[in-house]
Amino acid sequence: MLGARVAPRSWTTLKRPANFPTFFNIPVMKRSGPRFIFVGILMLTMLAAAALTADNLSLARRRSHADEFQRLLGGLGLGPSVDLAGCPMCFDARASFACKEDEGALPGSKFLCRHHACSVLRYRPIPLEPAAIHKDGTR
Amino acid sequence: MTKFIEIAGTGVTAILLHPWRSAVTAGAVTVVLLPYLVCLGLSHGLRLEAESSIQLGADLYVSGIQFGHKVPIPLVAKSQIERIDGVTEVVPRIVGAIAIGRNRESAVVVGMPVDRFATGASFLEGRLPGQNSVNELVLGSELAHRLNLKLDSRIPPFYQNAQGEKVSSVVGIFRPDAPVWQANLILTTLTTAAAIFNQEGLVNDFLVYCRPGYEDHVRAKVLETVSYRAQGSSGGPRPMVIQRTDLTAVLPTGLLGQQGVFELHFVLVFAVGILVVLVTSGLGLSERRREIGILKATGWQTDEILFRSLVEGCLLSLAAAALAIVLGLVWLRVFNGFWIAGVFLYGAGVSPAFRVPFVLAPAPALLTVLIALVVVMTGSIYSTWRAATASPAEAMR
Repeated sequence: MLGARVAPRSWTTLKRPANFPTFFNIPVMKRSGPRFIFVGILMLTMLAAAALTADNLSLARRRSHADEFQRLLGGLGLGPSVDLAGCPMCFDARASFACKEDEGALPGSKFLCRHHACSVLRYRPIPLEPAAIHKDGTR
Repeated sequence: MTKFIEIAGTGVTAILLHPWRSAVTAGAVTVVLLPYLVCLGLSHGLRLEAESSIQLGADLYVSGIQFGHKVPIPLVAKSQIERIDGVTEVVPRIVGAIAIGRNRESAVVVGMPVDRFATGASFLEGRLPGQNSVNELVLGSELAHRLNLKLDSRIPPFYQNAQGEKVSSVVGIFRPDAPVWQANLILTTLTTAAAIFNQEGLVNDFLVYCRPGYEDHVRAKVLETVSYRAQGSSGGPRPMVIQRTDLTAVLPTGLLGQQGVFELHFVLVFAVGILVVLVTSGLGLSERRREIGILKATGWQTDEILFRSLVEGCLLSLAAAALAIVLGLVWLRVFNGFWIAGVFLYGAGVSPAFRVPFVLAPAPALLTVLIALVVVMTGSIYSTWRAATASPAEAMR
C-alpha cells in the first residue's frame, strides 16, 4: 500500500527456516541487515587503514627528541630493558658483551634469562673476537 | 559474474544467520591478534629507537676486556687514542647501575664530561648538569615519578665515597617522549658519576669519533697500540673496539626478526585460535551442518558452498583484523601500552611514565590480516568441506 509505514523486520528473524535463502531467489538479500554488516566491515577496515596512515605520518613528530638525546649521550640503549638491574645486555649490548644467565652448552639455555625468554627485540651478543681487518681495509 | 556476487551476498547473510557464532569467531580472532599486533608494534618501535642509537652514536666504542668480561678502563688511556691519525674526538663515559631510594629503585648512572653539556637540550625540563658544589643530576621520567622528585629537589647523599659524600640536586628531568632508555637514567658529569661509584680515574668506554672512512684504520690502531696495563705490570685488560657495523649486525632484521620464544608463544595461541574457530564454525555447530545439507538438497554445488563460506570467513577475518588494529593503536597511543609495556619492557611499571615506543607499520598490519585469514579459514573451510561432501540426508540429520 502506497504511503503505508512498514516496520523494519529484525535480522534476528533470519534464524527462522521460513526465511532461509533459496538459490538465486534470496529474499533475505533485500533486507538491510547484510548490507549494514558489509558496509560496517568496510568502514571498520577503512578506519583501521586511516588510523595506521595517520599514526605513521606523526612518527617523525613523536621521535623529535630521540635524535638529540642519542647525539648528546653518544648512543645509549639498544634493547627492551630500561635499567641494568636484570640483564645489562638487554639494556645495551655495549654495556655487557654477554647475557649473564646464558649457560652456554645447555640446550635452550639462552632462554634461562627472563629478559631473553620472551623478548620483543632479542639480539645476538657482540662477538668478543672481531673479524680480522686486512691491510687493504677489508674484513 | 552475477551468480558469484549473489553467492557472495549469501556469505554476508550467513554472518547474520548465526550472529553469536560470528561474534565469537571475530572476537576470538581479535583477542588472539591484539596482543600479537601490540607486541609487533613495540618490537618495531624499539628497533627504530635502537637503530637511531647506533646511527647517532659514536663511530667506535673503545672499552676493556678481561677474562671474557667487560671491565672498567683507566681514564688516562684517552690520550693514547687521541694521538691516532683520523680521530677527531674522544669522549670518556661512565655507565653503571645503582639502587636508590627507600624501595631500592634501579637506576642507570651515566656520566659524561661537563663540556659535553655546554649546549641546551630540548628533551628535558630544566637544564643539563654542570660543575657545582652540589652534585647536579638529570633524572629519567620514570625514576623521578617513582622517587617523587621534582625539579630543584634535593637528594641527601645516597652513595659512599672515601673522599666524602655530597647532597645532590635535580636540575633536570627527561621529557616522557625522549627515548625509552631515559626512563631510569641519572645523567650527570663524569666527576660526579666517578664519585657516586667511588671509582675515580676509571671509565667504562671511550666514545671515539673519526674522520669519515677512518673507522677501520682507527680500530686496528687501537687494538695494536693502546694498552691499559700499569707500568711494570704484565697483566691487565686488553682493548675491545665496537664499531657501528658490529652493532648493526647484531640487530635482528626482517619482519619476524629473532623474537624467539615470543614468536613461539603466539604460534601456540594461533593454533588454539584455529581450534576455536573449527568448533564454532561447523564441528560443534549442528545447525550449520543442517544448513549446508539444505543448500545441497536445493541444488547448491560443493564449490558454491565453499565459496559462500570463503566470503563469510574473509569478512569475519577482515573485521577481526581491523578491530585488532584500531584497538592496538588505542592501547598503545591513548593508554600508552598500559600493562603490556611492563610485560615486554623490563623495568617499566604497569603504567609507564615514559612514552612507549611503537610503530604499527603497514607490514605488521598486513601480517595481522593474513594471520586472521589463516586462522578463520583453517577453522571454517575444513568443517564446511566435510559437511558439503556428505550426503544432504546425512548433513540434515
